[in-house]
Amino acid sequence: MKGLTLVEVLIAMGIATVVGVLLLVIIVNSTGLFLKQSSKIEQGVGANDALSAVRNSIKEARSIAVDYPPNFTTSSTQLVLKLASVDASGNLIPDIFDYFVFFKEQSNLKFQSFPDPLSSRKSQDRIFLTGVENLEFKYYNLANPPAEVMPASAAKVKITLFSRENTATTEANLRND
Amino acid sequence: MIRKESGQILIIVFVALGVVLFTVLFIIAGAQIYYQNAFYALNGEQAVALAEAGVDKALASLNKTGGSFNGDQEVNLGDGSFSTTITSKDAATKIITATGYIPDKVNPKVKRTVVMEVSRGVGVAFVYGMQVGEGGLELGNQNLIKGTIYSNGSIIMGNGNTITGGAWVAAGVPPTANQQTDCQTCVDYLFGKTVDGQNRLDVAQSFKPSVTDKIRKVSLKIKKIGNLPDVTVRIMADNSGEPKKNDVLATGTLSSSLVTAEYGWIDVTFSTNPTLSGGTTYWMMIDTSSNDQNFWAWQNDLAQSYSQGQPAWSSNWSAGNPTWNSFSGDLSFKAYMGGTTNSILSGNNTVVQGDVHANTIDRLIIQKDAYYQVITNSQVSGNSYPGSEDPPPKTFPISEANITGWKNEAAATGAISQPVCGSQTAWGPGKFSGNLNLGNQCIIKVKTPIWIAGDITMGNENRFTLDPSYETGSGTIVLDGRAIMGNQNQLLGTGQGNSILVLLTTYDSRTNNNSAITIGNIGNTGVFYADKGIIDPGNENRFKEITAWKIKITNESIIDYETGLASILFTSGPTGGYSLVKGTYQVK
Repeated sequence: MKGLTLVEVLIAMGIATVVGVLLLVIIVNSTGLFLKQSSKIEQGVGANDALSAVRNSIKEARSIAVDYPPNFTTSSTQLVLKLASVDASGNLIPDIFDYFVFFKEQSNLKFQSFPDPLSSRKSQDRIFLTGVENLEFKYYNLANPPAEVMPASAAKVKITLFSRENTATTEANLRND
Repeated sequence: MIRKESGQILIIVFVALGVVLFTVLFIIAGAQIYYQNAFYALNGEQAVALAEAGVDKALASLNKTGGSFNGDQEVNLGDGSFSTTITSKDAATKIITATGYIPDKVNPKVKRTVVMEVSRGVGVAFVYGMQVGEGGLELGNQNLIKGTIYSNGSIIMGNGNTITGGAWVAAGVPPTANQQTDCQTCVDYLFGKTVDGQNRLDVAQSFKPSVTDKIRKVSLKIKKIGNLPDVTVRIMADNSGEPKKNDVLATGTLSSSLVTAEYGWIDVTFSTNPTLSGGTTYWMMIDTSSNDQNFWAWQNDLAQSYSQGQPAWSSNWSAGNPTWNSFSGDLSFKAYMGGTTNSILSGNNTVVQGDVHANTIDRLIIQKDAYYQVITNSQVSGNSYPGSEDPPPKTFPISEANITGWKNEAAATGAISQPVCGSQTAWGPGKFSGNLNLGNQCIIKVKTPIWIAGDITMGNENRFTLDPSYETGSGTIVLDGRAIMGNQNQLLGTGQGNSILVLLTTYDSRTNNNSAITIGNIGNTGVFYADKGIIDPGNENRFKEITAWKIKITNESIIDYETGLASILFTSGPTGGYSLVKGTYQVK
């Protein structure tokens, strides 16, 4: 029976080792790159979804509330919106309002809602996005170009999210004001 | 010589290829998931944008067509399309439902719906062929009203009349207010903005009726600074000296178009007329949003001459625990309570092709639904709704403040002399002092506003035409006195779009029962307005629209509303168009 000589085995092992290391490097780098990009994309997609939710809430808001006592006050880091309440069929209930609050808590973009007892909306306390380093709200009028105004006078809100991987910005007009 | 030797490199190659292939597929799969997620999110945003485009187009179309636009099946725009439907919530309010589709309506991958209400405001440019005040409407025989009638007084008709739209007979508003205050020491109370650190967005005045009865309307002495949207006025119960947040009794719309830069009494009617108890405190509250450039002023009496109430302001009346702040003075108001029960009565063979709403109905042929308390000798082809509430009264689409604004503008332009018949030069704008007497066949081109501080008397076949430079805009001739005209006289717009020329008089017929506008027979046409006067439109005439405190039509006249008066735009004065009802925009 023929066999392998020691030299052949050593050479084969050497080649296999080199090839294996190269493959491992490719796999590790690729995976690392993939995970890094995925993290970036995931945060970007998450930021898009979060900002989309904030934007829709702003559009539907009746006005920007000065505050929702005792814990929330509209400012550059918190946004309190006043929306008309809805009934079980999704129709607006006149003269009754729910309050939506967007704010940063630790490194999370958080959303809390405070519905009127007669509203069919449920009270919510949700995390829209993690990994948030900073959250900024700016309030503008509808002049051209828009000027920054006090929140209670604003017709437009600009939101900027700063995270490790991305900076995302959006703005929305209050369609109900 | 070639020697065959076996080896393992192929296995290694396969293993290497397998690892590489797996890694690549893993990366692609992950990327694909994120791509689809991001693409779906993008499509969602695009669909919302398309739906909003549909809403904007529907709003513009409603204003252009005077409210007759019914929606679009599908309109392609960019990468998708949208469709819209319009439903009527009530006679002044429509609901626009717009859906955006990506890529199209037939096979959408993503769709989003936006819903919003649009309204012309209570009493402003309603879709009426004829609007009548508390004096009521008298129709003789064989008249044709193409459109809807809304009357704050009884309608009494003879034989053989036809109304192609509906007929609304509201409960009458009494001529005098139950509670009122003007001012002795007058100052502006600014609101709808921050003043001295006070975020005065909601302002209220309390009052105490002297009788237990339904509240029909309020009048507020206010003015505006800048361009403002319509705002909501509420009647609320009292909670220990503050408006009671959870006890809103009635809601109405204060139409911004009725308010000018000068103080005027602005009427507000309500969608319902609740009963208020005599001797009990209630509040009337205006709810605004903040805008430092565009805000309101309510006349405030620092002499506090009204002892039955007080004013207060809040930054948010509907907050969890709203804070109300009293201040010195009394805000000028009038509150009208009670009133008359009105009827629609007719002779034989009078047909209403639409719905009829009245407390009492007698001898009518109603081809749709009937809403009433009492009905006798009538035929109803649709549904009957006994026990229906009397319709609420409607305010006229032009306020005293608007009329004063036109007069001031005419006076500021300067005095004008007697017009020259047939002249190529337009007569006006300006103020004509004295009575205007025209004989026959005088053709005058006009630029408005024109204020005639006297009467107009004209014979036959005269014609006033608005100057073509007004394009689709409309114009007004304001008259202090009476108008008397013979036959075949015409008041015409430019001929473009819905342009009209209105003859408006402030003559008061309510005390002496003299007609403010008397029109002869055959061939007269135009738009006539006399909110305190009687209009006698004569026989066999054809009008676009008539609004008056009382209207007396004898025989064989035609009111032809289908020319679309709901979208008139006065080049100076009130505008009448649909606009968003604040707070109704929803994304579904």
